[in-house]
Amino acid sequence: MIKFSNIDKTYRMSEVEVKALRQVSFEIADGEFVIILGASGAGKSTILNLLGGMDTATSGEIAVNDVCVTSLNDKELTDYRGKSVGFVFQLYSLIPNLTAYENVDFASEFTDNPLDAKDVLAMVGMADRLSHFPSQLSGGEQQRVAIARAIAKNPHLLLCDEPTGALDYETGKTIIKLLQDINREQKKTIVLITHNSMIAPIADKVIKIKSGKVESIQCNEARQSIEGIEW
Amino acid sequence: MVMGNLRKKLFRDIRKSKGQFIAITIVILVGAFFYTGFSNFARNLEDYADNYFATSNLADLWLYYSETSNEEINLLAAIDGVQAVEGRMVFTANQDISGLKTTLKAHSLTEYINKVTVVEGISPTEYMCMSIDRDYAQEHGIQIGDTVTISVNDMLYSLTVSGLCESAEYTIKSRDSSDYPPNHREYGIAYLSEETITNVLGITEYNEILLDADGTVPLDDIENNVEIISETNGSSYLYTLRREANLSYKQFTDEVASQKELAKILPIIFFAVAAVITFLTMSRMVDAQRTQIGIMKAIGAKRRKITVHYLSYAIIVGFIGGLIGSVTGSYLFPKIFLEQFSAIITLPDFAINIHFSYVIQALILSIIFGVLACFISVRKILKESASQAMRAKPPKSVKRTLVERLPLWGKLSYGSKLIFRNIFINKRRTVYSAVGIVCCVAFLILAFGYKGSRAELIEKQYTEVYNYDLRVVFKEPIQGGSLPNFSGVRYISETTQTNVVITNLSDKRNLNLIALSSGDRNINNYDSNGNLLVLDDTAVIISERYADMYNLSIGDTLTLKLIEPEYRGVSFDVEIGGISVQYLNQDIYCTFELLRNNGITLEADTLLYQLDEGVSTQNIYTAYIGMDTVKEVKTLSDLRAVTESGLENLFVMVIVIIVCAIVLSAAAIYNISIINIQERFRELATLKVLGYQRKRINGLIFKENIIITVFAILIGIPIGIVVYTNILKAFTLDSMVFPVYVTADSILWPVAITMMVTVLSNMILQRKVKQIDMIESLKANE
Repeated sequence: MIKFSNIDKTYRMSEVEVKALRQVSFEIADGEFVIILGASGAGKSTILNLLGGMDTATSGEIAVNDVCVTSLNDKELTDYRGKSVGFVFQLYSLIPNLTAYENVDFASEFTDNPLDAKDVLAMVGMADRLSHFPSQLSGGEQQRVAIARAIAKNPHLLLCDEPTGALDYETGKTIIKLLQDINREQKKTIVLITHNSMIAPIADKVIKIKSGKVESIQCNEARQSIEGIEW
Repeated sequence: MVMGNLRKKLFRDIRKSKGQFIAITIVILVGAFFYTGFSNFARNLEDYADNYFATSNLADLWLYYSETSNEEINLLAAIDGVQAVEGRMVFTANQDISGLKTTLKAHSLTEYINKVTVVEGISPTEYMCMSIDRDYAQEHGIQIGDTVTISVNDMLYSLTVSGLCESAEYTIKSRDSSDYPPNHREYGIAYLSEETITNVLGITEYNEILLDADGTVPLDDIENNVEIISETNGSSYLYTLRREANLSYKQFTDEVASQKELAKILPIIFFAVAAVITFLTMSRMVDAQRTQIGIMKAIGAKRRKITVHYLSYAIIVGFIGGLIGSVTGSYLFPKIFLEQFSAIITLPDFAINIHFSYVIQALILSIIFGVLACFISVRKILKESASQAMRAKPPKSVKRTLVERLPLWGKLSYGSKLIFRNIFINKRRTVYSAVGIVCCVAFLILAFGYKGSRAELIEKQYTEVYNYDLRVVFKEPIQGGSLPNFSGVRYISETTQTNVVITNLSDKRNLNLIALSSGDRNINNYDSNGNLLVLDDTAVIISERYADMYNLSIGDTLTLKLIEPEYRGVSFDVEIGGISVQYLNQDIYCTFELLRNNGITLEADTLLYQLDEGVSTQNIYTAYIGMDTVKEVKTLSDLRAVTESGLENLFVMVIVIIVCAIVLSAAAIYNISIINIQERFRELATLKVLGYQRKRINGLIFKENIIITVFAILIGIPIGIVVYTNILKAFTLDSMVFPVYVTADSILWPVAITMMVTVLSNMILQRKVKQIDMIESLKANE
């Protein structure tokens, strides 16, 4: 259960004040696949950053399960990121000097009940690429390793920031498929950010953001598989 | 306008990375400081000396006689190639200043040759007047107008001090070659008018003739003619000294030469280090702006404009660092050294002139390295297509490194693995970081070794070579039987010394001949292997330094000529029986018996006392100090203290080198680590996002720097030792031999200081790690 209540986020840049989020509130149930939609600069990444404990809200409250994220200090936030959240970024963000296996195994160091790195890599289809360094992998492969890294720590929550943004159409589709499978089989809550409204039907819930405000929250009664969607 | 906007970008770039800008500026500043400081100082010294010797018309030859006449002077003046000849009276006067017996070397004033410089008051042309040198006057608080009492040949005379004078003949006022650094408290130079000397002191004949050659005839020929004239004339001619053999001139030119030598080596090393560091940081800074260069190119900026933009950064840094460094180097550098320097060398009215040629040289050098580095890096990036450059550099292909084959590898934590891969994969960066540290260690070893050499020189001379505790010098030869008895004396021996020249060597110079009894245990001569040499009655022991200088070895024959007037120029041949390492003085040792065998009677006038363990010198000292027959009483620790204070100036040099080494290496470590962090910010941000605590991220960078530092220290130590031993050679003066000092503490201190610099730089860097913005750095592109 994730609860965003009346979140404001204001960036102060010397003399200019930028209101990135204004009174944003929504709820996400356990195991839901949620897509946050919005144009560039709408504030969707800010939501993800707050949810992932990478940034702090100006006012309002964020609760993830029983944890009140908005009241954690810097050290506790680091701990929260390490234990409770799995991240997938547009540019994969793997550690260049660690192999695929090491990247995954390494991230599980921070959590209490990690999954086996080899198993997870096999699950994302990277079983035969264990000892490759990121520079020796294609973009899609790197993103698979990044997803493996995110789920290996067995977090409650998977946060994906434009995970297909740097990938071609077909590869992007397989990545979304992978995420959908993980959501279905492992019952992990997934929050995915995208500006591509065409993939909205695959989600349980779609939150549309415009100019830092929630424009609409829409629940899909029967979500579709990515395979049936073209864009 | 593109140029205007680029200029704005330039200044914003500088403001954004202030630390880096300051660090490079400081590195260049230190290089320029040393370069101009040393060069300018050495040049000033040389110019000053040339001018000083020319205006005071320093003699080319000093001719010594027991006594001589005007008739002889006229004959000498007629020799071919002689410009001028002038006679003077030179004698020793003593002063008793509240118990301290001092010596003044007194001269009659000359008119044309060896003209004195009056630094205060007036020249002592008036009757009953005298001038003394400023250092001696300062030591004893003697003012102009004071009446001083001097004793000459046991007669007391009261004279008025009319002024303070210095002479180019005595830039270094050493009593003899063993009095270095000079002791101004006990030895001074005095000038009186000829009239005063003749009428008051009763000395009527010249005993020295100064000869000024016009340079058309070789000095050898003139010297021969001098000897022929003295022979036909039957005068009491003793010997001739050339300018180069004159003690003070020799010591001074040695000092200037060693300054010049240093001016050649040290600044070049410092500048080279600064240049390397500038070069490395500049090229990496440009590399870091790779994508920006690509973008500029893509939007159509001309290559020349982009190049100029980056070069201006190098020019600004080089100009600011070079200017501040060279100006402070010109002014401040001499200020640091001059006080210590003038404790040894007397340079009236020495003023530092700035030679702008050095400032300009330093500026050009400061700018050129940065410009070159930028130019090479920018050109490399500009060669790529705009689209290629706009993309981030393709990641280095990562291979498993050699260390990973070690069985230990699997047991390492991921943190350690990351550190090792980083070091081995980015070999270039590792080497870059190491260069600054290697230099730091090397410089510190040089500085500490140098400091150690100085201490070692004093220690060896005063514990190994000189083994006595107290020295008593009598006015007359010692009369046996009349000496008091003291308890606690382990060993007493007799000695004396006189001046000699070696006439069968390429140049004659004044040396001390020290006579001892055979088997003396108060002065020990060791050879270079540390073996104690035994002085016997058949041969002399000379110093290794002179043996090296004149290519002498055991068994060679020397012709020694005694040059004190009372020996009337007697000379004798003697074999070299041993070559000893003499650190401070370069003397010749022989036995009384050897001299007697050659028909020369040298009577002992000095007693050396060696006391039992724990016995104070106080009793003997007080017993002798009051005696009329005693000229001076000195404890070994007094003598040691004089040497120590005289060598103080070396210490200032050591401190300056240490400070500069620290500044240089701190700047280097800081700069390269900052670039390291900038290049890896995405990776570090990822670690942060993944839940790596800040402490551990700091630890990653810190440990990496420590490993590089350790590696650099291991390389720096041998390099430092080589640099040190070579520079020590340049420092070596004629009269001093610095022992090489490489021991645990001369290595451990540099290592400890270097480590500390690394730790401190890392503490500053922690702030930078904290500033890494996770969100910003994980965005798609910069």
